[in-house]
Amino acid sequence: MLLSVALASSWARRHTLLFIVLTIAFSVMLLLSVEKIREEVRDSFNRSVSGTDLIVGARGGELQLILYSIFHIGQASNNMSWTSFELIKNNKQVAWAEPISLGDSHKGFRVVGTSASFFEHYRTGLQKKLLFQQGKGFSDLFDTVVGADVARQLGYQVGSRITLSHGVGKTSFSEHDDRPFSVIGILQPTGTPVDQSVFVSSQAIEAIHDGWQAGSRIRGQQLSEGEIRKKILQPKELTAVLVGMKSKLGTFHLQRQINNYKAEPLQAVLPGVALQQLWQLIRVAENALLLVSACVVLAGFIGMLAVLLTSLGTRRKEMAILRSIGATPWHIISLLVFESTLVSLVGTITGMLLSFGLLMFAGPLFELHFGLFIQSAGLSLEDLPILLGVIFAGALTGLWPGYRAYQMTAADGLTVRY
Amino acid sequence: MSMVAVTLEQVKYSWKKGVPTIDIPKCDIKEGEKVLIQGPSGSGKSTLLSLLTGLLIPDSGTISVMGHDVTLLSPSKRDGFRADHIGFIFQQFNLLPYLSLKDNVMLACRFSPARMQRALLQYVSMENAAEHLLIKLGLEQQLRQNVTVSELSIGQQQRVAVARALIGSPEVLIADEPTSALDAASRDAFIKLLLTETSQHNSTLLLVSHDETLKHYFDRTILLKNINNAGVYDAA
Repeated sequence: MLLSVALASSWARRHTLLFIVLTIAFSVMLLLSVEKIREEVRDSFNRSVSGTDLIVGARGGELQLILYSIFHIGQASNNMSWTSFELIKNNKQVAWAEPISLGDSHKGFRVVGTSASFFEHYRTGLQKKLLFQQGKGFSDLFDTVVGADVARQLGYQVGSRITLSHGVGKTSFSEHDDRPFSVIGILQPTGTPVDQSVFVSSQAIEAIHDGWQAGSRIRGQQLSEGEIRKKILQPKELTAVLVGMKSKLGTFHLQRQINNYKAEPLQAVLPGVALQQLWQLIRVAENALLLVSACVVLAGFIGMLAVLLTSLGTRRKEMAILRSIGATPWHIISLLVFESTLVSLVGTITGMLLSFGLLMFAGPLFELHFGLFIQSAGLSLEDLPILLGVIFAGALTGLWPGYRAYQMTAADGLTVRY
Repeated sequence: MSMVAVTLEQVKYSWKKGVPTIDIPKCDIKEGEKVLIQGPSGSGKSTLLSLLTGLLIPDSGTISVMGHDVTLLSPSKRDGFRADHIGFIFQQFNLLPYLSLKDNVMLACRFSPARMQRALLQYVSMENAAEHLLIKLGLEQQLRQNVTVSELSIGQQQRVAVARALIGSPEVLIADEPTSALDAASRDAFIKLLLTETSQHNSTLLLVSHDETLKHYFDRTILLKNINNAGVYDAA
């Protein structure tokens, strides 16, 4: 029964309350967006390794291996030998093994040297196969397949001619401009680093480095295209191997075998385990971000407290009138708690909508600059405790002004003192 | 023989220990009586009003309203008792500016099922009751035009406050200097209207004022200094 009075009273002061609603809305927006991006980062990482059982590379950090081989973050400190790759590939328990040779780039995008069957075996998301939006996988030595982002940003079509650069920087001083490639296929978007990769065959990597030593071209040792095609291009080294097992049960056995391999220092990593390490590493940063967002929410509530307490001065008469017609102190307190709850509720809902809007607007930018693919701007179940928490904290915030109002009406009685 | 509406016996109250504001040995107000309570500021008027409406509890003594000793009631019972039995009119700013005139009048029934019942019995619906009262108090035009509280003159606002105090016919009406913001002409009209309406509702009226010219409208005038032993008065 007091509800309509409370609503009418809040509505009458809507211009002041609007700003508090906005403060809370922005803080909730920040909180939700940070949460969402955090979830999406994890999703995006998990998506990229969904079909791979083991990643094998030169011995070093487990996390480092997965970061450079799958996510193209950082560089390999060592390569592994092609002989070891063939041993793994021919293991009875292995269903498939794809070589990964890194170290070159094309206009800032990483070049991945692999075999044609990579496109058959690699999986993203929920075991989704790579699909071509145009063309097909490479068959010729100088064919290349590019990811969706590469094609979109550089405007490539099937048939475009490109050259690769030595090294992985955005600008490179040593170009493989003597060996042009033609785009034969363009992949569909996956929301993984595949979108930002340029795929060529392992042999092509060998071919473009023929006549190179220690990162630079050796003069006078240049072979013509015809000559290079005739040469047997057997790669001697590669960066990493992605392995798919016939049965998951064999995974640990093979991992142990590889880790104990005497001929070469190798390591085999379970992608899920390595990612766990990554989460532990970035948890500190995540928590710091969440803490900052929570502080912004807190600041919002302090603002609301200030506004509610200030409003009490002008609402003294309102309280006295309500007391005179029989409102109890509880009615007065609930009036203010109702208002703070209402403001928090409206603020939270507005914040949710703002967050959706922000992520929808900023989603493409994230994809462009960080390769982070925001799948859905929808509300996830994990956000619910946050939202309820904010509304509950808002309700609690109303208790103090409520108590002050009660004290005031007790002191005023029916004559308002100013 | 008429019943007693309000009785005060040996009522003592002090804001500060040892400095009594109210010390009334005895005061009776009969049912249906129209009483003017007179006293300058500082004579304990506000405190007396808070005591009569049950917002304050005396340090000692008893206050009976319509046969109920309000000093024995729990705080929430006192709030309920006030809602049921007492209509209150402030000096000014009686109305919630964000509610319509009708809603302001009906507000008094929101906290009192008893008054709502009585209003329904008399007028079938609350809306009817409020409209009826507003029209009787000369606010028909304002009601029809659906004006807001802030568009009313002070005199009109006070009349809406009377309608709110009267809806559901509470036994006792208490008015705290309701004419102090009115000019002489509207003051007399307001007092006449208030008296007529309270008589029609058979309500007891206690009007607190320092205005001596109101005297002749009332059955009886009580000078606060005559009943209150504790008042602080000027030497004059």
